[in-house]
Amino acid sequence: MFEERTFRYLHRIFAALFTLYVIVPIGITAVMAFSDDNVIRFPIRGFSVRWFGEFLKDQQWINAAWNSLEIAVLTTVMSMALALPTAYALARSTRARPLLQTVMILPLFVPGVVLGISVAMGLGSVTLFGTELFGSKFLVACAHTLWALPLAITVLVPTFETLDQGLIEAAGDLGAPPLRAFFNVIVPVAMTGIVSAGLFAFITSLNEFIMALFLTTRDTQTLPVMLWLSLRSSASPQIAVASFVLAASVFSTVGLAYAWYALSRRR
Amino acid sequence: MASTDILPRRSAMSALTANVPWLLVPALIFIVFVFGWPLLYLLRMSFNAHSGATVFVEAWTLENYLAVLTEPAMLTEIAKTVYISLVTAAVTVVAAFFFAQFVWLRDGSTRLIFLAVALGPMLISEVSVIIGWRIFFPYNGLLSYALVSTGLSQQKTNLLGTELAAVVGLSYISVSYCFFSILSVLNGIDRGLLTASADLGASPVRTFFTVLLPLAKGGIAAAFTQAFVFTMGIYATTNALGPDSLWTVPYEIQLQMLTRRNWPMAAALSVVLIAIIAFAALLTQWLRHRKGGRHV
Repeated sequence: MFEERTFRYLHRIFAALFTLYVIVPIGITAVMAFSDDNVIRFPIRGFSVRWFGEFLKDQQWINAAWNSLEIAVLTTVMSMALALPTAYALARSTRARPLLQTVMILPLFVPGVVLGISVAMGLGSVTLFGTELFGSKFLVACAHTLWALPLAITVLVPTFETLDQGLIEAAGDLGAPPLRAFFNVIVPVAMTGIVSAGLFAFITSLNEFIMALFLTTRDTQTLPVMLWLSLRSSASPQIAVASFVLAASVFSTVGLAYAWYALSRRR
Repeated sequence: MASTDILPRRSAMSALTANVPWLLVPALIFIVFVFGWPLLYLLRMSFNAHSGATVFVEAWTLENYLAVLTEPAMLTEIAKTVYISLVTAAVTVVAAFFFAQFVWLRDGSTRLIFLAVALGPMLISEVSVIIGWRIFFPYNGLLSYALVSTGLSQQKTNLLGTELAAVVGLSYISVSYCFFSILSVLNGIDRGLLTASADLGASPVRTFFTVLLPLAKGGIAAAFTQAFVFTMGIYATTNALGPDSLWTVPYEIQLQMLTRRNWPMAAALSVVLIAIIAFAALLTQWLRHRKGGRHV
């Protein structure tokens, strides 16, 4: 039995190292964001919120952060508007489902760099209602939806599959028009799945920067794009602050969603 | 399906759910316009010619493909991309497997905490991951400081710009996805099989190789393909953490597009990249189905 105990011990050490591996890049950024030093280096000589002040004063960073938020919200709205009917239909139809679902999921397996340049080439010169599509937040949100939509569909199809068919029929029998039945009966029951799908879409858009790199101009630049572009030119902890802000906004969104989930379960 | 609808429909709602495919139309239109059309345009672009003055000149030429598939510099790039993706996929799958196995053998709150840990990399932007490792690996980074202050190393070390740093960063990006696809396969295996194997006198190593590994094969293959496909398309991490000599295909695409302003070449490289990814995906699919696909 000695041998098995050794293995269990090794497995624990491995799990601890893996946990450390997951924490290091984000933990180190969080610590470095509070450094008082002029350059990124260890040991850290003192702590202050000085670089947070610099970040908040810099109009370009703030502008980028707002762009990111706008694009992420737009992506979430668009991908949910498309994913809800799609997932609902896919969960119910059996004939063409494998093919259709594959087509919908396909963009997820195309590299961001390829999607970015093809959208920039194919749609970059299009003018819609008098405004140029290239460099617009709408086009970036469209590109992000290519990844957000498959993720949302993947989350929503199982949610709708487990839905009680009788519930929908009952709503219909009681005279509810289809759209009303959907929003009053199905949406409340499937809320957990819908929120997680929206969360996936929002986070995907907030974090993505390769497609955005090819589709944004200086004015519509997102936070991660600006982080990537200033990676080599900036040696100060300010870049750690910006990276920390990005990660913190993702984690607080997840935290909010989780708080909502915990509250709704208690009720 | 339509022919079996002999029974009268119970309500308008049921009738609606019977012919739902029109609900798919908005998403299909979106996919066609934002995904299908740009990819077709890209394909067409790859046959165009390039002159110094403009981004492309309309033509039907195979020159770009010829350059991508015959020039030694390009072939080296393709080989390096495949090489770093294979290494990353192998490392990632091994790490994800042992961590998934660890989580699988646990219950309750311990399991939840470790699931949250495994989810972490999925939530962090690639650029934040890069910045994190760029604070960790260099000469004045945490690793070097930790090694010197614990006496493990006499002088400061720099690991930024090495293949090790590139693989560490790249594997961070796909490890969560690999973890969850392996865990879902492990969850379908009866944990009692391990105890049974041990009771019958098999050593942990033997149990691992003859019981657990064959059962989890399908999940491991899926995770490997996933990691390989993801890594093939990444250039930011490779470029920011790896050595300068590690020029990958996605990096060349970006360079042709943004710096050289040679759209046809960028397009041809993209088509080749997609072809390699599709080939890898189809190969795994074929291998899995050939073996009966019992564990998949």
